Amino acid sequence: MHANTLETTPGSGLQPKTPFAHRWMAVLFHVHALMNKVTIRKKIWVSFGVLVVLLVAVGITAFNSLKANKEKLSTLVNDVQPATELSLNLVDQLDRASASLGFYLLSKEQVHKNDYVSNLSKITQSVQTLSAMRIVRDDAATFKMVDEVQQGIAKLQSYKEQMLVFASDDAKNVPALGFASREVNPRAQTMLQSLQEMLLAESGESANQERRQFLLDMFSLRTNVASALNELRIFLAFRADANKENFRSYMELAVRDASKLNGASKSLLNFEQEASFENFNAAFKEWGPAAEQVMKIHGAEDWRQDAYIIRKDLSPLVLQIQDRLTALVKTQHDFSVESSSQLTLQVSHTQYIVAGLIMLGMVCAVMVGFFLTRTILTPIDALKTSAAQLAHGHLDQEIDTRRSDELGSLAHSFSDMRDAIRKKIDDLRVLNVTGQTMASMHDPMKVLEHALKTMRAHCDVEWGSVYLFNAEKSLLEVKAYSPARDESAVHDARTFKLGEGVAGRAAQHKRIIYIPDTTQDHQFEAQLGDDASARAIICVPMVDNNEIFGVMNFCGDVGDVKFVDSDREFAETIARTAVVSFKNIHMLNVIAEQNRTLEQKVESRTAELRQKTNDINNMLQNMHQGIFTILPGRAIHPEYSAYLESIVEDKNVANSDVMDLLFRNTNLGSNALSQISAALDAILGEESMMFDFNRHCLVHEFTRTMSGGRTKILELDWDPIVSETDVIEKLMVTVRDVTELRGLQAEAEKQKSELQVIGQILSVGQDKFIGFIKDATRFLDENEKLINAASNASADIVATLFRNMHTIKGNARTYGFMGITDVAHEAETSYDVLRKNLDSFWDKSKMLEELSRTRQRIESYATINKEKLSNTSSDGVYVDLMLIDKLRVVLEHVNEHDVSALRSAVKTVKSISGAIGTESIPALLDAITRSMPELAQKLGKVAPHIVIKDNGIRLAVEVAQVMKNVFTHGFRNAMDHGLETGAERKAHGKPERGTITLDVREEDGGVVLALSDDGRGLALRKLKEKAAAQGLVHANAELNDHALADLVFQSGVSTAANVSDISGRGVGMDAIRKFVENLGGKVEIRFTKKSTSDAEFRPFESRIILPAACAVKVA
Amino acid sequence: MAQILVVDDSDAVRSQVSGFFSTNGFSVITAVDGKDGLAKASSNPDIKLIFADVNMPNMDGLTMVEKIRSDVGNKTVNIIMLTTESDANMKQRGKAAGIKGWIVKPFNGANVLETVKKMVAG
Repeated sequence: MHANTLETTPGSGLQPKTPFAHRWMAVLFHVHALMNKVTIRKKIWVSFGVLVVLLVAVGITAFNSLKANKEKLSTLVNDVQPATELSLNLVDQLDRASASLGFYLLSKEQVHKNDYVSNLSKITQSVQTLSAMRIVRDDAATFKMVDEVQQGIAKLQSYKEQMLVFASDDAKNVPALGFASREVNPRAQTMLQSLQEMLLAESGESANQERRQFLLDMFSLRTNVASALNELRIFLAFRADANKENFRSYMELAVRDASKLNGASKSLLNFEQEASFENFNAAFKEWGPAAEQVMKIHGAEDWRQDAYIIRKDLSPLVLQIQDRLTALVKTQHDFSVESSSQLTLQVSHTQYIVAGLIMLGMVCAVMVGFFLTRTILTPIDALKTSAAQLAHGHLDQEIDTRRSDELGSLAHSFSDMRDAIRKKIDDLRVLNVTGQTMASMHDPMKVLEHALKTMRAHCDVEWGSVYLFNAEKSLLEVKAYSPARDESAVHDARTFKLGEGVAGRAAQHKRIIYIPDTTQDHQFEAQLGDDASARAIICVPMVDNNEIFGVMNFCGDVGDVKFVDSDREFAETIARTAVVSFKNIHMLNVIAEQNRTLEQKVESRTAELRQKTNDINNMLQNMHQGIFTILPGRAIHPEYSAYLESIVEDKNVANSDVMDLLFRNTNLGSNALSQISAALDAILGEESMMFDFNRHCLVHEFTRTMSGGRTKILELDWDPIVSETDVIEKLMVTVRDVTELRGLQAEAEKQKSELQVIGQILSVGQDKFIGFIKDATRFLDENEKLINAASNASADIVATLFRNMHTIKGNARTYGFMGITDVAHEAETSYDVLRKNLDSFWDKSKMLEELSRTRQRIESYATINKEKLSNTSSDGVYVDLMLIDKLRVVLEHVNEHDVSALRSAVKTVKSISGAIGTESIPALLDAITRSMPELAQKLGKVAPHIVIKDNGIRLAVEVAQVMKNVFTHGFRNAMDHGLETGAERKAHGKPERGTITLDVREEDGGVVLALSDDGRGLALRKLKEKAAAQGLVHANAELNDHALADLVFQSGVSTAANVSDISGRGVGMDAIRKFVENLGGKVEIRFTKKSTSDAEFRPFESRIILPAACAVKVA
Repeated sequence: MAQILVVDDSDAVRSQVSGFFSTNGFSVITAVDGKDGLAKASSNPDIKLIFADVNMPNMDGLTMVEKIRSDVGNKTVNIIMLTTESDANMKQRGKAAGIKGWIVKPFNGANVLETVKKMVAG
């Protein structure tokens, strides 16, 4: 705002309209310009100086005014007031003195006298004090008044003695009393005494009329005199005119009486009376006028002196004094009033002056404030606005720097600062761009060159180079140039050690060295004497994290190079950025390299882990073992191998109780089960040692009954899973279904012993073996008889028993029948006991049991011989000892725990040894099949195609014999009744040549031999008719096809129209059934196609089902 | 100096357990019930390991163990309980009394021997 005013004033915007205005404007402008030149400090001093002067003026004025008022006030308080007070006191004292005097005169009391005297003396004192007062002395009128008062009081004092005398002496005070006592009272006394003497002198006289009159007159005279005297006294007391009258009356009477006595009665007077009367008369004559005189005196105005004086002199005097005093008080009062009004006037005057000055001060203050605001705050506001704008980044706005006061210099500084900031921002922009550029570079050398280029542009240097420390950090070697140089020019580039040369020093001290002129720099010349031309050098150390990496060296012409202090930071930053970028690129390369290897590692490791996880999962899914873990509380962990479910035949494995899942329906007793569960509780969640302590309670094999009564033998392994804190977190259990293994093991054992037996028999030979069996059977029979017959031991019986058994044992041993030797030995031992001590217990049942065991063993030998060795047919396996030994070797060397190996071994042995004593089906049918073409020819049919599928199944020799008969019949039957003639077949769309099929397979735990042909099938209706004709069934009976087919087996039923020698005699099928049933098997007809209504024929197969023992499957 | 204390009211078990350890070179003392066991445990502070039956007359094994910890104040001796059954409450009490663990009878010396050697040595 301020700046605006300055700008506009001389401009065209405010052109003066009149010369007057013009002059004013010019003056204002000059003042304004002047004001701007005056520093703010001075302005503030001047402004406050004005305010201080005003304040001082206000102070002095108020002080003076107050001082004058104070003097006046002190006069009032110290002089006027006491004078007034004293005057009033005097009035009061005068009153009191007068009153005291009055009271004294009346009462004669000493206290009033004292009051009177003391008041008088006080009055004297007061008036002296009053007259001594300055205000009295100073004012002539007042002084005159006081003087008059003083004189009056002196006069008053002069009456004092006189008044005191009057008070103490009534005679002097009342003159009549003095006169009376002097002139009247003695005469009265004389009169009354004389009269008394006259009366007393009468007593001696005779009492005649005259005398009595005389006495009466005397009495009357005395009474009147006494009355007159009395009236006089009363008058003296009260001064009543009546008493005066009364006195005069009594005097007239007394005079009358006296004259009476005087005149008429002279002769009556005796001597004494006469003398007394004379005395009376003399006194009476004088008394009368004296009494009149008394009354005259007493009736006068001054009958009482004190009152008279008081009335006549003192009262007017006191009044006069009081008048004066009143006047004096009034004078004082007037003076006070006047002083007060003056004082009031003066105070209000002072008020106006002070108020005026304060107003003036306020105006001045406002003006000063306005002035200061205008000259200080306004420019400051302008600066503030500029600062705010700067703060918002508006660096280009104008800042007025024309003022020459402090604000002017502040504005200068501000402007400088703005410029510095602008430069910094420019620098930062350059640094930023440089940093970004460098950061995006991938070549470290390019980074260094870019840093040099940036610095060259910034400082106007001619060329720059970068020296970096070598790997040993001992030498600075040149790495890059700007502008770029030819490699060949670099061959002689020099190197610097730390501290050597400008570059070395910059590196050593890690600070920038700037030499504006090398010729002026002593140190430089000392270092580099060969280059004497004047140059400017800037050497910037490349530092990052206080670590020196190298130096940037710049060189230019003296005067051209610009490098100020603020550029140092720029240079340092460029150097640091270059180092950082340089390091980053290096680091990036390293990281990229590491990442490459890391990625590979992670990839391969991930693949490994994936593979492992897959393996484990596959394992868990596919392993033929149940694996699971038990958690504390005996619950099963949800992760377990899939096969476990099929072992325990239960899908609900997860979280179930192991005791329930594994040990349900087992051969384990409740005690064993309770031990297992207790042991599990004692192991799970406890220290690892608890597994060792309790593992003896965990079973390893048990038999479990599954649904349908099947049994499984399960084998368990227990392994603890221990945490890092040595706590058993889980128990891993491996479950294997070893049912088959155990079966195979048993089978292998059985095979082994069988092979042993076969070997033993073979090594003896048939004749000797049969002889042995015969003898042994005979001895056993004899022993049995003996044991059964006897009830206790006798020497000869025991001897026979022993001898017989010993012979069996001996023979068996001789032939090497080790299985028999063992059991025979046991029995022999029992007999030996008895032989040695006949009293031993005759344990018949035990002996029979031993005997039976021996017999069984011997019979098993005989059976093996019969089955395997006695009836070897043409295609039978050639049995010799070598083969048997080879088979035994197979069994002995097989891994007993490897199911598949065991299985194959058992199978191999079985297939070979099983074939011993069996016959193959094609072999046994050989004769039959060979006879078929001939038979066909006989029947006028085409020779059939014969298909035999034996599936490796062979039949035991004795079964084979039976089957030969059965199939002879079966095949002939098929040929005769089943297959049609060639023409017939052709007509039915069948090949001329029929097929007879024998399918042998294992089924339902046995062997099925199914014989079928592709002929017309079973003639169901004919069959029924025939059966009805024979009375086997009712003609109208509702029989289904199966029931009809069953009629085939009825003796004598044949559907053939004519009975040939080949078949049709009706005895074939029932005979077959008999043969088969004798072997423990059965025969049935099974239709091979669904029933079609009213079909005369129905295709079928004859099924001969034999027990498994009848056949052997050979691989 | 006794190393192992065997507490069981069953003569058979006691003689089996103590016999096994004696044979294997340990010094063993026995007690016939909890009360006896408590007395022997307090008069033999150097014992390293106690085998204790749970169900015993006069004082049951767990009470004895608790008293050994509290009344006798032996907080360190290793204690292993012998039992025939598992019971959550008993286990809880045992844990609270700081026992090493439980052995389900029948006692099997061979499984225990190595661990016991270490316990008694430590």
